Amino acid sequence: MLKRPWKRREIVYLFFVLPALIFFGVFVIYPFIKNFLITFYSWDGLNEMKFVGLTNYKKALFQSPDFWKPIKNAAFLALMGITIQNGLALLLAWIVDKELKGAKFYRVIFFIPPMLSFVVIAFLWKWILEPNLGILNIFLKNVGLGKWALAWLGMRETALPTVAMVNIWASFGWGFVMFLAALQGIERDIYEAARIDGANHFQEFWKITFPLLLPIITSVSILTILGAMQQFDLIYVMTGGGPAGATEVPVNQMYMQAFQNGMWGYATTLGVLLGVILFIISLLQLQIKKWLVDW
Amino acid sequence: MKKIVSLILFLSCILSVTIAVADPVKLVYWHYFTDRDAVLRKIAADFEKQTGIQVDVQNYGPPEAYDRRLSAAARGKALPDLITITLNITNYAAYVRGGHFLDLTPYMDKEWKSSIPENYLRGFTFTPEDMSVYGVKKAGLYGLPVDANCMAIFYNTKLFEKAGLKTVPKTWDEFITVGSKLRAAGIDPFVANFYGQQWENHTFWMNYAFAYLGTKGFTDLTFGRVKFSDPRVVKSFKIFADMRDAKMYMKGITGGINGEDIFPQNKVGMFWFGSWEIGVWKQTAPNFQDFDVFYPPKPADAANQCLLPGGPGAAIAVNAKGKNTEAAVKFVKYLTSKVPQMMYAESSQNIPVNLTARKEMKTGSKLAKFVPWMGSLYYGMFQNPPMWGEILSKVNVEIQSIILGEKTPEQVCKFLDEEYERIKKRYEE
Repeated sequence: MLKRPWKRREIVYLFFVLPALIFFGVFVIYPFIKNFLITFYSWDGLNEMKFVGLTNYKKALFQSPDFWKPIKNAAFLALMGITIQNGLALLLAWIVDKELKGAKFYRVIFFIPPMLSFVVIAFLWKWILEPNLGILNIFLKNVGLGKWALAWLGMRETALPTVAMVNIWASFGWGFVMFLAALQGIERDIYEAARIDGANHFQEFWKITFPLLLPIITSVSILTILGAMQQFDLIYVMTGGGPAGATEVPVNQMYMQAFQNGMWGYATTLGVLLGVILFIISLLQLQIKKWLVDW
Repeated sequence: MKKIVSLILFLSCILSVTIAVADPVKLVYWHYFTDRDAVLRKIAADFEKQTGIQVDVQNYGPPEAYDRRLSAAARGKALPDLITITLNITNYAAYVRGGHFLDLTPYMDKEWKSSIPENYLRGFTFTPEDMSVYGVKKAGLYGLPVDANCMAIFYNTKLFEKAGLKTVPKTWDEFITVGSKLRAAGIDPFVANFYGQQWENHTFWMNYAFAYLGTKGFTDLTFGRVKFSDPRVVKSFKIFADMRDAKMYMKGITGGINGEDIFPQNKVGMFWFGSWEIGVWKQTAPNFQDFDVFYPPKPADAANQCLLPGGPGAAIAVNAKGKNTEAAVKFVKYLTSKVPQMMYAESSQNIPVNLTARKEMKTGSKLAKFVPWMGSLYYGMFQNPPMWGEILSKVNVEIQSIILGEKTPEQVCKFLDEEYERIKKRYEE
């Protein structure tokens, strides 16, 4: 007797969430499943699909160097992102949180790059880094550092680190905003109590700020890795994957296989494999977070 | 009452039929040529005046975005009546396989056929032999070129003068000497979009692969009958090392510097690109006139002249599943006829595909310089196996390795042989 009205209410609730569920199902769940299914087919993107079983996976994992090299490059971007990008974001957020003069101004300034499209950023930096006419090299020449006026995107040694730096510049604002919000959520009384107990700035950071920021550090790190590993537009515009494949990334490979070579089944397989790798990394990070918090 | 209802129904039928009859045929034409949009609209307007058939010209450039739109429309059975074809054999064959493009063979009368170079028509025809290679069900002509193009080496006449150069190089050694003289005069000698997966990488190499191998030899290379480690092929890659050793490349050539922007700024002596750029510069650098073009010079030990990559430029197809295929074919015929072609060439600075229009081009114009070379072109859409596109993407990367001094031409060729076998095996599976 008591259960019946509750059930009716449940049905009403279901109707409320139904539009969102349908939307989610059509635009997220269905493409996800469809994408996974395509990996078992050979498909030119237009006509009938031919079932090929696990052939695409075999090709990607064991018969082609095209998969692992870009993964290595993307991993480098992710590593730079986790260390330099997040370190910088945390440092700046910490400084701004210390009631610095003009904090609001910095908050806006640091968040401008993430608001720009990667394509715009890529063109902007391509002009800045242009080896012959770019302002960076002109500046270096004018201040007597002409020997440092390099072809930043044209040499294997510098191309990937340069792209990584631009990626950091473009993305650190996200981490900055999230760290700042988390820092502002820490009770000031805890710091006061620590100071009374004689803690210095380093101890305050290491014993209070860092442990309390661990959940947000994990989230920002996961987002950084996901963003870096899926980078495409920045590299497509800045280097096209060159020089000599030095900046090839997985999404670049997928794009080429699908749109240039018409191998959609193989391209989606690369996508699924990348997804699996990212999923494992995220799980590992969550585990590390749990371990650190317990510790 | 029944009579009144019947009368109303009868009158409604008559009215709807009248409206249908009076409704003019309207075609939709998709393309991706931002620089040619205006002239295509003008041609469409002229066509409407003559035939009463409206053509709605819609620009969906750039090509990458256009490609995605087109494939989505094909899957959704929503292709327009007239479709610009992106010149990629994998894509073209896929659309033909799916029955999306109309076979134009029955419509090509003798006059129309003779107005377009024969090898261009071959470039869009699936012969019975091609059918098994590309999985096409019916042989036929499924597209037509709208303009023609040709690659060449552009040079800056002012900078050549500044370096004391009076003539253009005729041989490879002279080319290298010209490069050294420009460098000595403080001028960057050469730029091309030799980065990423840009097609300029492999097209420049192809000139020399033809020079050393000849057309048949090159076709044999694409089908694996000649190896990359063949000494002639190794020599064709050596040209990149020669240019590197002569310090001809503009700084950062492998790093995304854009020759199309830099060359008109009088910053570099030579630039490897295509005839259509004249039309692009007309819009982006209208005051830039100090340039001319020359044919890629042949190495002394090569058996043949270089063969320029080029031929049909923009191309058009008719939607086989469209409602107005007859009208659409009529427009294609008009677009490739003499007067619209002359208008198209004049406005876009592209070489007309119509032979009569080509003959009437203004002699002395920069574009007209390309015309005599149009007979020395290699248009390889059908002469290559389907896997060749993937091989070329490897070639692009390897050329950059030579320019950077990371690999020798011999190492590159050995690697390409291995890659060829690996990719071939994958395609065979």
